[in-house]
Amino acid sequence: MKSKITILLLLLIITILPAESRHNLGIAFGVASGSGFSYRHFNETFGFQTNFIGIGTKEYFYVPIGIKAMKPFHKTASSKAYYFAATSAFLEFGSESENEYFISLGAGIGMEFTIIKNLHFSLDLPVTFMDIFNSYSEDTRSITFPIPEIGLYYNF
Amino acid sequence: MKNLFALTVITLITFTLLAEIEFEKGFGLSIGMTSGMGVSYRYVNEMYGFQATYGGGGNKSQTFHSLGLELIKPLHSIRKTRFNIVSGFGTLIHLEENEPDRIMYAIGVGPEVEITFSGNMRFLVSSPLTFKLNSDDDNKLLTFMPGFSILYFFK
Repeated sequence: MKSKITILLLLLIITILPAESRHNLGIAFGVASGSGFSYRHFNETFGFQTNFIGIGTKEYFYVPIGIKAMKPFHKTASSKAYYFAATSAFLEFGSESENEYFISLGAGIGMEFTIIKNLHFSLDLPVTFMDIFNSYSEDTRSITFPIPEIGLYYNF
Repeated sequence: MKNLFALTVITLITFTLLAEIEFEKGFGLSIGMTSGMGVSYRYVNEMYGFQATYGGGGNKSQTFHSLGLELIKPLHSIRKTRFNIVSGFGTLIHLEENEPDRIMYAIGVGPEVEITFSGNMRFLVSSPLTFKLNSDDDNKLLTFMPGFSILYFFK
């Protein structure tokens, strides 16, 4: 079993290493993939993004956190289009909070383009399923197409 | 039967001719009364084109849908900009439990400018003369109503 895992890991590393790596740091706003500080990674075949922030007071503190997987299907020198799927959790804490949360899911198409040199902007258009477990409230649970998501990144 | 055959032949000829024309295809986000609000798909060449838009959603008690269809006639083009005339029909439908359906219709025609930036990204702004009416009241409106799109073109 151990040898199988080792072989799988080696295969994964061999697959990823030759690909051109692109790292991006910035801010992103969205529902399906969360909001806040964002790290986005792209290589030739796939990409992923994580978003995280914590904001609020001692009484009410909110933590949106999310992740997105992307698969480019069209590229030019200064832009790319991709399919993506994302999920996020919106957590609420605090001394006066009811410690509620809701989970969202989304999938759709997105685009990323260069504004100037290393500064990139992304616009994603997912169909978004909010509060899929109906944990927050009856009104929050919904399906909407699209809830646009935007991001601004510095590309290293 | 003859009519059906003629229709099939005409459709085939039309699609064959259309296949010979090089189209540009793009997708993105649009906001406007006649263009609709939501995700757009645009199909255009140097002679003509169209754009279809949909956005919508809802929860247990209410839903909304925005639909738009625009016909595009390019008039003038230089390297990074294009001037079009667009005519469109948009509708916004709001359905709620125990409430009468509310539907807004808008129809319009007017100028549109396409600006290409960052390779194949385009920003579009239009200002069609728009006639709007609602299903649940007699209010009518005739005005220039701006619309905006940001589209990614495949080329």
